[in-house]
Amino acid sequence: MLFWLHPWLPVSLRNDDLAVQHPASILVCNHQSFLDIYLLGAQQQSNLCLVTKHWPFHLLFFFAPAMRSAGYIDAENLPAEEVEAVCLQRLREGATLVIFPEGHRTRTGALGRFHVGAFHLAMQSGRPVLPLLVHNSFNVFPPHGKLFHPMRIRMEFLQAVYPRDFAATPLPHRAMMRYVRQLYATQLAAEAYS
Amino acid sequence: MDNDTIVTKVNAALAEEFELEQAALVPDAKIRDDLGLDSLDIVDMVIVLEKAFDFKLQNKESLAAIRTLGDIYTFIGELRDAGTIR
Repeated sequence: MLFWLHPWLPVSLRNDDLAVQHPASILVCNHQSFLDIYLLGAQQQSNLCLVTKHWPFHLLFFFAPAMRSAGYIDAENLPAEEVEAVCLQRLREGATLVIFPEGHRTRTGALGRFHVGAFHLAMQSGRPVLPLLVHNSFNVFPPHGKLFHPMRIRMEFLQAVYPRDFAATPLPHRAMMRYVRQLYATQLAAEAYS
Repeated sequence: MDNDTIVTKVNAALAEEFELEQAALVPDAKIRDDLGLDSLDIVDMVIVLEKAFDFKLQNKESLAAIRTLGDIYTFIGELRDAGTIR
């Protein structure tokens, strides 16, 4: 899909090597557009396992069978403990979990509040969180807009964040979540300023 | 500890840890639907409240009926009345 869209939607990716260097990690991504899922195809880590809400399994009838066969995880169809157990199993099998910690697409373009699940998994598994920053996909398809706005999308892997660095803090997964969210906020603010 | 102090301490603890707006912290606010806390947040919320009020919750089942912020104020008030917290 990215190949066919390239003339109108060129995608650049910085620090792509970080995805290859951190297999079986927890890849988190800010969520600006429905395109973000397809943009994951621009990076080199192939053993991805998305952790998503229930509706894509229900409404994306064309993709849902592929999502099921790829072992994507429906985070709303099981109790939280079972979702966590399945995620940990996927990590042990070598998959990289993909989680959008905002839980849904931004409606304003602003970075939303983060949920803590991805960082709880990092603490449980000892695996690093690998932040992927997406710039500009919000402006390509703004919510409630009817037009497609061709423009360059920039993606960038930030340095991996390790759970051991937060082990001494109270509620370490929350400290890790706040740290990673601040990374996003700083990078997005710098982008807006420039 | 009077009821106003309980409300102030609960609100301060939750606002800081969960980055909630003070304006959202009203007694009728539903913890999941209005404050947007998920199941993992609620586990953390118990730890935050234990630290804020210096107690250790022995009976986790007593949390099952809590739906709103007002329920939390009531719950902490009951712990105070039982002498669990001061």
